[in-house]
Amino acid sequence: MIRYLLFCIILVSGAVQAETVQIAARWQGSPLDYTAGTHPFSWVIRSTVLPGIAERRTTFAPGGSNYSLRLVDAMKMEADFATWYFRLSPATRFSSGARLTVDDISYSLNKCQERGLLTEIEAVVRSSTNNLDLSEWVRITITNHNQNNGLDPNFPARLAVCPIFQSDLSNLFGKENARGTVVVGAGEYAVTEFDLRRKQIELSRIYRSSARLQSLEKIILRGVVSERDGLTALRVGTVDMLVFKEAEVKQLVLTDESLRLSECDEYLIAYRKALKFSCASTIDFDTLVYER
Amino acid sequence: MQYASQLRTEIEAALAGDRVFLPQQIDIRAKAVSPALIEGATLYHSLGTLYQRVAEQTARSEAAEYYCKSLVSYQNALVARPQKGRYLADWANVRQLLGSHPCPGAASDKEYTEALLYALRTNPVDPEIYFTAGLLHFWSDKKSEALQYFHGFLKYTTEISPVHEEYIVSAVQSPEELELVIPPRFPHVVRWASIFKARKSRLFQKYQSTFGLLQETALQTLTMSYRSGDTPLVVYQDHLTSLFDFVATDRTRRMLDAVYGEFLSEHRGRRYAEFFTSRSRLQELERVLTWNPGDRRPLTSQLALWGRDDLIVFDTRWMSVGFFLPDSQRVQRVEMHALKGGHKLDVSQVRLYVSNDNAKWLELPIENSVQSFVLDGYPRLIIEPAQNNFRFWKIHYSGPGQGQFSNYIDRLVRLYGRSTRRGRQL
Repeated sequence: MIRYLLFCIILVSGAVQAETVQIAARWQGSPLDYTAGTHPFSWVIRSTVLPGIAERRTTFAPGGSNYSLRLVDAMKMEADFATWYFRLSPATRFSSGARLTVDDISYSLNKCQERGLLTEIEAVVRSSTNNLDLSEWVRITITNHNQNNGLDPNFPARLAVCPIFQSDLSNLFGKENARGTVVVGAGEYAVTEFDLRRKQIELSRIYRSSARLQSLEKIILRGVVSERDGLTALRVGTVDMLVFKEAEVKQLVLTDESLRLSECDEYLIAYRKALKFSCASTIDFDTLVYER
Repeated sequence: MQYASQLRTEIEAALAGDRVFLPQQIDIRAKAVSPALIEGATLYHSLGTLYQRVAEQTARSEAAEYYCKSLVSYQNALVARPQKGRYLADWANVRQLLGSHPCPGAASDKEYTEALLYALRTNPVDPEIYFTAGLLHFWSDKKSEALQYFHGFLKYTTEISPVHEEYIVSAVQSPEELELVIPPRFPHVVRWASIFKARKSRLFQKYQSTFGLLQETALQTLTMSYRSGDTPLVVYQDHLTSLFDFVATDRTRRMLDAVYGEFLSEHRGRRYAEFFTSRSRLQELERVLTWNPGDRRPLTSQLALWGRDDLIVFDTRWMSVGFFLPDSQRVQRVEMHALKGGHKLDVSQVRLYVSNDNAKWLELPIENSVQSFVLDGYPRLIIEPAQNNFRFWKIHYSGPGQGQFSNYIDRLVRLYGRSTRRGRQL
């Protein structure tokens, strides 16, 4: 409903939904770490292809939480915040079509612990439910490393850093998992091309029956030799956005009337003035439109 | 007798909602009928159903009284027909609803166990009595007895309804219990593997090795029975082929391949027999599948969107079916199986590409290592690649679209070879 209203507002305001967006960043074609990498392309791929159980919010909600649930649809916790329960949404599907399971969450959180992205997970198990509740719950127990401060009531925000993989396929992929197109996540997009020669990565929207018709079909990530080259590509219209960090480039963007600058989760994004999108902790590609 | 029949008609009218009766009125009149008569048995069973219906519509404080009357009525019905499975099941259902609530005139559990044993003695091959006995014990938390009775039911029945399936699937909660219930013979070893696979796929994985052992025992028994002339050739072949889609373990599959190869060598000639016999010496390999329609650049295009199990038509122009081969596996044979009724594939239009990085591809010549044929109505394509040390594989069709070679991708592509992977499961 909200999406429909948004769509109507966009129509009235004369904006059009983009079908493809091209994002440039400095990249020479080196391997990307989808799980923990800080490269702008890793950041985009994590949010669109490999989301976590929750996502961080940049602003606090009225209840005081700084996260929203993503792959799960309900949550409860013990009073001491040491045990958390998440209900797996039956609507959550991987790009393979498989449903999200407790095994997937267990596998992925374990990988994040190994990588040091998470440190406090003690156990991840299937939570027993009564016979009337057919949904699947996962119980996550956490340890308290800092006894003085107690446990974090905003613990789910910590889970936002951990991408959820389809465990059985990831096990089969072994060392190849999360390299190039060899990745299966539960996001709206999948990596469909990873061309090192052209330094281009293509993310394609996964068709789902619940998807709205007007939607961004492709996200093209284009590697440029330097951020200045990226700025040139942005100016001539070859790309729609440039993610950068150099202060000198920032100055050039600020003095260019045809461009805008935005900061999204510590990433600086330059984009053409006609482009509109919102950012919480990542670029919300569903809100991306071009003004007529 | 006529009086009983008339009364029964009246009760059935009340059950159907056509007439309104006070249950007490029926009760008074029913007392005139002897429960020992067969007609009396059906009358008392209907009366029990009526009381049960009244109890369900009555306030909780008074419901127990009507449940007790229902229980006694079912008990009266059983006096004349102790072997009637349906009566026993209804009695047990009400008994369970009442729990420990005392009912004047109702028999004890012990008496009904005796009734059950009597029913089994008089009808030792009646599957419904076994099933009812299984239910009675299941509801009374006597699990091992319940499983034995369910085993008896499966041993003698020729028909399994969804209700039977439901109770048996929910009663089996461990591999040991599965072994206790499922008779190691055809068609049960195929049917129950398919039921668990479709309804409880996670449990099927857990029970795979038990299913495998049951299937192997069934296979040995069937082959001995065929060799001794007790099982006709057509039945033997039907049972063997029915197992291919639901074979539980790779060890069982290899055994089945060897048995079926031997059967074909006796009846269909060496060519088809060799297909199975040689495969019986190879392990089935794990893989992750995908497909790419409209793959016009098979030497440079990448495989993506892994793991989807879609129905695909392989003989469509520029179609690529791809797979990722996990570590520690070497493929010696790639098999493609189309749905029954399709056509033999033109091998001159098929190409095999391999890669280690999913970016740069190499075409492997297959002219001398490819076979295409139709066996038992199923079109098959077999490729035995000369080189096998690659991670990414692509089978490409470049000919004109025929639309005669299709299947779900997971069943379309099977790989066989050598594996040293630990903990692999099919």
